[in-house]
Amino acid sequence: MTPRPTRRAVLLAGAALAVVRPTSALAAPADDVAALNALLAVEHAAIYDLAAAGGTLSLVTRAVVVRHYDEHRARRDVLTQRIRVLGGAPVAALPAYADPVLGPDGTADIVAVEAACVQAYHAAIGSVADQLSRRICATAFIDECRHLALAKSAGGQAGAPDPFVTGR
Amino acid sequence: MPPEDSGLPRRRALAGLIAVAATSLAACTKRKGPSTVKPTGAAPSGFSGSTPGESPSPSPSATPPDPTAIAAARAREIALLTAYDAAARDIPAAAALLADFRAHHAAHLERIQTLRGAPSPGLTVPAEPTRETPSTSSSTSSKAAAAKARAVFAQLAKLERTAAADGAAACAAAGPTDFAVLLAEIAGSESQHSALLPTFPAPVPS
Repeated sequence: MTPRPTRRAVLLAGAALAVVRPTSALAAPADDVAALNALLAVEHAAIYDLAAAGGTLSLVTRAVVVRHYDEHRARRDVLTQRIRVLGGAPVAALPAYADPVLGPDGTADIVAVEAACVQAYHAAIGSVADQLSRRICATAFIDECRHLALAKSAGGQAGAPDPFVTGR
Repeated sequence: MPPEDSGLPRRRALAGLIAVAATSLAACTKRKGPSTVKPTGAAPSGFSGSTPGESPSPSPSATPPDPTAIAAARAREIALLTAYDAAARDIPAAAALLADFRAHHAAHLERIQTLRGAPSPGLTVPAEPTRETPSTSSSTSSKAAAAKARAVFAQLAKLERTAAADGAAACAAAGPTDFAVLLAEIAGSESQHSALLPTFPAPVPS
């Protein structure tokens, strides 16, 4: 039997695809579809992971993460719709993902998921050519930055330690 | 169903899939030539739990950013710096709490000033305010002071949220990729500030 892919592997694959084409000047719609599909795969994995980690969180943190979870689901739908508008076929969620390895509370895992989403959208901003698609990516990026800050803060870390979120 | 003992480690299989996908995408971008295709090994590793920051920088664009967009980004930062300074003056006990975020905006402004086409500074960048010692003769009760601080934090959060939304919109409209990414980075930072400010504890006046 084929082992189930971990959601981290999916996040890695999605982020890698999102950075394949770093410039936008001569991009074709097919390239945007590929980049958006990579983001959609990341969202599928993130939704799974947030749901899996939810049960390990404190009530306060869980309330925050549930809001983030809903936003990820909404963004999944936005990406799906945009991909269809561009003539592409949205990737489906995998049938199953390996269960994440959770700590005593899932906050660290939540931070990792949100950080991966930040990176994926950051890469996509530099990849997509279509203005509306870039707007979707930019809006998602600032939302993910917010998620990351709150997740870190819930875990006792500095929420916004640097002036530039990805360190540049 | 595939055999269990295929002998192909999962990671290697995944890396192979990524490489194939990258090659396919590279083929779609023939016009740019192979040098613009990032190797898949440059994938970010933020999800490993380490700090993010390993995604590749966009290649510098030949086209300079629109001076109007630069001026708007600069104005947003100056407005935020001014708001933080006013908050620190208004509630001296909060100055230390707000210092980091103010420093972030100063760093944003500094980065914007380095862009090609940035206007020469016509406005004086606000200097960091000196920390005033809170008056001990204040008749304001600590409850009122806390409420005032919360109101100030909420107002700053609202300004940050607006700036982040404006920055995201500007990012979408920005021509050169590196400028768009910078605008997004700044907007992301402002989004973080807007989320965290309401969680700040109300400072206790000494």
